[in-house]
Amino acid sequence: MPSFGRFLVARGVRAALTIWIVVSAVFIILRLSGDPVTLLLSENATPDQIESLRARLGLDAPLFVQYARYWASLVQGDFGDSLRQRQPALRLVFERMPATLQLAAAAFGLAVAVGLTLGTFAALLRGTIWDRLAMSLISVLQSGPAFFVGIVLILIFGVRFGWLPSSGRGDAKSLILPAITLSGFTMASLARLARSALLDVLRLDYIRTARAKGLGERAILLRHAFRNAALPLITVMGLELGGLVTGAVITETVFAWPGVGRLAVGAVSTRDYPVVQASVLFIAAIFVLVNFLVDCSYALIDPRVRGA
Amino acid sequence: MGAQPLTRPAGSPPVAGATNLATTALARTSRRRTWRISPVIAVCMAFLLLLTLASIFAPLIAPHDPLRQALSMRNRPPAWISGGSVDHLLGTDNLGYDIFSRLLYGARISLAIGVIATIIGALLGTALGLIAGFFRGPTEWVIMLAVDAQLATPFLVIAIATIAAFGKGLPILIVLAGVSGWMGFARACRSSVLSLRERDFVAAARALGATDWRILAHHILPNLWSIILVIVTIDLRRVILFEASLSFLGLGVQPPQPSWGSMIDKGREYLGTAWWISIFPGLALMLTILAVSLIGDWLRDALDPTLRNG
Repeated sequence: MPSFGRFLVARGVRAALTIWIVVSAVFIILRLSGDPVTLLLSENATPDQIESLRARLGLDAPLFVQYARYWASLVQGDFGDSLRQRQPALRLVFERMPATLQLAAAAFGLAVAVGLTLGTFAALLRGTIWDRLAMSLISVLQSGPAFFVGIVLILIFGVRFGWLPSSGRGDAKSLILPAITLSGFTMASLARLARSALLDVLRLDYIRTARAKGLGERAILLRHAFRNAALPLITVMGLELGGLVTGAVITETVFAWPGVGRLAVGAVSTRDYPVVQASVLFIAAIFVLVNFLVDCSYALIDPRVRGA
Repeated sequence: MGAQPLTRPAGSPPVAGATNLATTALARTSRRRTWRISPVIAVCMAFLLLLTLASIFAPLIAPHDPLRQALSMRNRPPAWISGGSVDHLLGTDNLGYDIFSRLLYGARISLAIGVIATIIGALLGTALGLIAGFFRGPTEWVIMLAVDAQLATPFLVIAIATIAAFGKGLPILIVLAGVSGWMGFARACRSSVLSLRERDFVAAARALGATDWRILAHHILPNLWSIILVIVTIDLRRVILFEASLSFLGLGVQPPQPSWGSMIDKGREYLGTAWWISIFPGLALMLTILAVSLIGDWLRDALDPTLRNG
């Protein structure tokens, strides 16, 4: 059996390789788009400023030297200064980070709780009208783009009834609608998967054995079925967690939620490239990191995957 | 939209069912096979057909010019609500644009970008997958590394960085949407080719003096059509959603050009007074995605059940 340490190293190298590719891609995009100086300075920069920045960035140096310098500055945490707010771009990203993580965590909790419950009931009531109802609900949830689901929720709970705030980040109530919106797709995937994983397990012989020896349905489900159905669910939960951080880009825009995603989208409109770059690299890094941690935890739980 | 990563169980080999699909699907489809079309699938197909026709003939059907403002006719409700008129069936928006007309022209853009981008992704992914699976070696390693890297990256944020650098516009949108989904094709084609290249008919063709490229094009590619078709249908849904998401964020199709995503975005400020500006394009988008994904699931199950959950 391959050791856990070796698996860890292999996956770690892969995660690092992915980060390297993302950073290089962003560098190449910046270079391909023309003169980076025009992107890094505001439109009304004087020729003097342009010249000094060009000299400072070393744009006359060979491309690979520029590439090395680019890496050096990133490693030192220098992502450039925001063009609109005279602050380091990375600091702006860190200021917005708690809001994004809070939203993603709330959405994740909601998706797991509701998704698993829904999937379990659909599996237990297989073939009944309730099962079909649950599956239709899941299909609709998976087809509804987050931005449209969010707008419908705002229309109903914010505008019509005025029960919940529909924009901004304030007290706990302001988190409800964004969290529901962001969780929708993940909730549906988890419910669908929980249903099929449970159905697969319930067909197996050892469940029949448990039933034959007179165990109650409750004990069979909790002690025997769930434990084995949990493995694929944990994997997908982890992968969805990374997706939630990215999905937050759209949900944050719908609800004017002050997170990293909204920062990035707003910075595109104000042509604030350093901020776009810092938030994009930050979101990508979180995404890769989460997937890496999920792979590790999965290998801890199920030694069989270490060989893969 | 970004919350939809390709689900990939960490331990499982990539696209497990793809290998036997390519080898058996052709034999199975050429046999007389009863394609059971359920009423739901029939409705989905009818809807998509109607939508396609409506978008092709939009200039004939649309009652108004989708790019003409009528400031005197702002925020008019749909026909069945008091204050609305049959002239503006689904009402007007905050600038007096006719929503029904813009919905038709928006369908044009959404469907056109969806189809073009999916074709780009299919061509790119199939070509790279064929090359990786057939020639093996370092080429395969590099291609599969690229596949893994892009699968492990949130593409939406890369798209945002690209648009920030190059500026907004239709060409960049199509390129991004096209490049966003080639990985599925590459993976499936590669694993199919890996098994196909060992088959007797490849050895026979080679013995007869066929070149590598001829074998790929004439003997291997024809075996992959059904799997490519399945992935095209599954991918179309993702690409339509991708375009709508970027347009919603204000980074895709630019106003006054109508697109469902940007129409939804535009109506957000008027939810209290004119809900129809956002809701109708949203419904259109949702129904289209639902229809495409149901047909995709059905096609996948019909052509190869082992791809389920794949």
